[in-house]
Amino acid sequence: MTSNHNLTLTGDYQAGDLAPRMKRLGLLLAALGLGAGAAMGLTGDADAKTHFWFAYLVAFCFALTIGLGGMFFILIGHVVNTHWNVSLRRLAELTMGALPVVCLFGLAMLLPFFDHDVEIWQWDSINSSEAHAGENVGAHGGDASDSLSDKLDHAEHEHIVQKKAAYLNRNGFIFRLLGYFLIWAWIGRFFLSKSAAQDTAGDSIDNVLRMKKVAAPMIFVFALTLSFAAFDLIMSLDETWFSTIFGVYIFAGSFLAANCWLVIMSKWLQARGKMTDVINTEHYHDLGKWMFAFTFFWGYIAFSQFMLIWYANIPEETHFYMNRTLGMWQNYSYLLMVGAFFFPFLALLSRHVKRSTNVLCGMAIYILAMRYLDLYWLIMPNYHRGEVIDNPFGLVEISLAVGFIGLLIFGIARNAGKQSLLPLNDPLLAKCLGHKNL
Amino acid sequence: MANSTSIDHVDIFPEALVQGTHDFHSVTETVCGIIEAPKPPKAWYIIFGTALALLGVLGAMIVYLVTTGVGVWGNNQPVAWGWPIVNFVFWVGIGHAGTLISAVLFLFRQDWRTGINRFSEAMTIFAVVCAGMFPAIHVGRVWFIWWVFPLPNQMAMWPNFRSPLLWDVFAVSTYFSVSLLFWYMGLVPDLASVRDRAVTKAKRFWYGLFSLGWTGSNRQWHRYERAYLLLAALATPLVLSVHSVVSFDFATSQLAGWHTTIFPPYFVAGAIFSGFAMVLTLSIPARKIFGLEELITLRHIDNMTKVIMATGMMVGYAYAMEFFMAWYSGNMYEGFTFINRAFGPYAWAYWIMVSCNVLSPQIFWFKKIRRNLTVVFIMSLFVNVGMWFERFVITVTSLNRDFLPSSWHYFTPTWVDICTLIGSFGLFFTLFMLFCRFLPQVAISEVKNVLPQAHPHHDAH
Repeated sequence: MTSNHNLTLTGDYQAGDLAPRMKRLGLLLAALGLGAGAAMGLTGDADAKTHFWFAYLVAFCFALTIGLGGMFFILIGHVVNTHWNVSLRRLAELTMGALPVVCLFGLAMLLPFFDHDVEIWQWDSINSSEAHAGENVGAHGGDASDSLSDKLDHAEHEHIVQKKAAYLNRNGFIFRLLGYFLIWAWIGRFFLSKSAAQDTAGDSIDNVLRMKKVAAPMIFVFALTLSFAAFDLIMSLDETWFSTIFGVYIFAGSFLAANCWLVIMSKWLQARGKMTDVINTEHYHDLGKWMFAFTFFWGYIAFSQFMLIWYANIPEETHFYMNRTLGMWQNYSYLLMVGAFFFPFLALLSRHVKRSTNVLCGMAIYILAMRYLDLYWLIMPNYHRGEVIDNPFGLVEISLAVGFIGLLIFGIARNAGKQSLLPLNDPLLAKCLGHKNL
Repeated sequence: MANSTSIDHVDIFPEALVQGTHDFHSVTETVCGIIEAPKPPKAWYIIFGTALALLGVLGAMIVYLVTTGVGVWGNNQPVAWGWPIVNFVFWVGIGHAGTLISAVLFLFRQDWRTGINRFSEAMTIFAVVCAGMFPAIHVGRVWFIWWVFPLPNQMAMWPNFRSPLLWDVFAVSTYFSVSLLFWYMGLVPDLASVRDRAVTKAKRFWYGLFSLGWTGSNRQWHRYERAYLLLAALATPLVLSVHSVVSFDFATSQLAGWHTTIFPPYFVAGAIFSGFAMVLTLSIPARKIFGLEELITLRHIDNMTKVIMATGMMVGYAYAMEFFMAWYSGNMYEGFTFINRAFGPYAWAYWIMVSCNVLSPQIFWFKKIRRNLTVVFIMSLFVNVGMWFERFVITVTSLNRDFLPSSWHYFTPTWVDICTLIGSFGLFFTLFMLFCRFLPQVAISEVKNVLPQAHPHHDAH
């Protein structure tokens, strides 16, 4: 009893030979990007290696947040029974279906734990310096030239880190990371397979109902896994810093990134003659509205965090922003404020921008670059934390970002050929295609 | 076709927003009939009478307070912010659903808002009136309350712009003005309907005056709809800003339990949560008393309970994050505050809050319960209670055991505190009952828009 009986679909909705081609391209980009990054970063001294792993973490989080944003796109769509995004749904399903590939390479982030030259998560070395009491191997190990107050600061610092060793420890970290990845892989698998099954289910809507039932509790799981993954991967880089809003901050950026990704993906497919009649200006307009709304929401969350920490002026928290106003990091902070908030906010206010699909696609690429900048701003100041350094951004970062985008493309293309690119038999498809923005 | 039970089918193809056999005329009749009836239903007299009596209590309390001093309340060191701020935040929170329903749900194309938007916008305004009263009477010398505004004056005295309390004055008054404007603008076409049907001269005059010469011409409707969209877009950031600023009252401090970065979105979620609960508390009896069951349907109730469940879990997420970070921060004061909240002298309040706001709304996972009016009504009261206690827990438990154990003190309200809170419900319900009697409770023109007759291809999905 679907409402699509009068619907005739005449376009091209199969990935066809695009899928193997994109698979090859994705692999090539991944191999070149990650390979070049590793060749530049891992062959150098300890400092170069540390820099490499921080850049690797940024690139990984960039691809990860796009996939997770895609997951939210699917989950919330089912829960609120939306119809406008049905024709985009398979693309989002494919995006989140790429998470296992991305996460598999993300597991490489565990390697620095086993390399004595490299410290990414300093709580790890502080914990092990506790285990080998007396050896000054920690990042803040004493130095003969340190003043008494510096020594006290270091002792205090280590004391705080040791207090949270029950959470911030190597085994717990690995275990949690594996847990998040498996949960996300399962959610991605479930929705892609149920949705694909619906394509050939005829008049039955049982698959859709099942997805709706599962989606609601999965939002809950999604919120917790995303938040704790954000704490583990990013927030704990600064082992004494904490912010209760941090999970929401990462969520805001993720959903924004996913909407941009979907705009680019749709434009790219349409340029190759796919999906031309099922994704129209109205759908782009709505994606543009989400881009606008989440640019705003991200700005709101970023402001809330900054304002409260700045105003209360408690040293335990303010060092996060102090580190990001130090030396050239200050330029990044201003660039983030203007580039990731003010400019896209003003640009996307315009209805014309949201409805001219080429311009919107340009904005999507731009905002994705800003998403990278945001993660870079969160992660990279922990490399030589609290020191004035030269801008570390360079070829290593670019190669690794290209590598992870390659992985994302490979992950998507891997599943793209297995079913249609359009949920052909979704009960709300007809309503989606007739959708108009007034 | 596979036999999906009809109750599941509703999840994908929801039932009509207007039940029964309504046409354009009968919608007008139903809504205007309430105003035009020579006498309101008996229940109206009972509720209005009770509310008026409670309003009298409020008046007496305020007179007693002003003539005696704020010492009549339980506020004292270390709990200098007692019930007045709790009540203020409680009422502002309730005042949130209105703008969310009228603006955000409008932008999200949620048609079902049409049945309940008028109602909740009215409720918003009355709740903000109740809220604004508390800080005003808390200042001690209430006749100087105008000092909160940055008026040029010969005393060369300016309010402290660095204080979040002043930002509150701006945030709440902006919210109040925009909500009022939005509500009134939506009322204009409906007031004109009432005017056109009025049989007495007085009614023709008053409804005529406030309907601003509305004739329903094409040009007027065109401008009306543009203005409505613009106002919705302008009001949407207000949904975030008001309660974010209210949360700043607490979160900009350095006090453990108050200073935490999640406060702004957490307060907003909590406000929407409590606001929807109040809409349910009001609409479930009102639709019955005034015969609006076909316009405010079970689908509306169902959707509202889902919003309640979702925002309830956001609030639960915030409780969990606060607790986790209190431990994770390694800060002994944070840790103590939260252990004290959950297991200290006010543990009872904390667990009332958790049970009402996080645990009990979980029953809304079941559709049968979402459509059981008795259960939903009781649950809405639970949420109201839970959200009042949330503010109580935040305010009082963070203060009552401060950094100096010798000044620890178990806060108890005085009878004046209690009567003032009860009296504020009197004010709220008095205004609300007047609204029910004299203004169209449902947005007539908007409901007509969601009738199938309004769409030429209404038989196709």
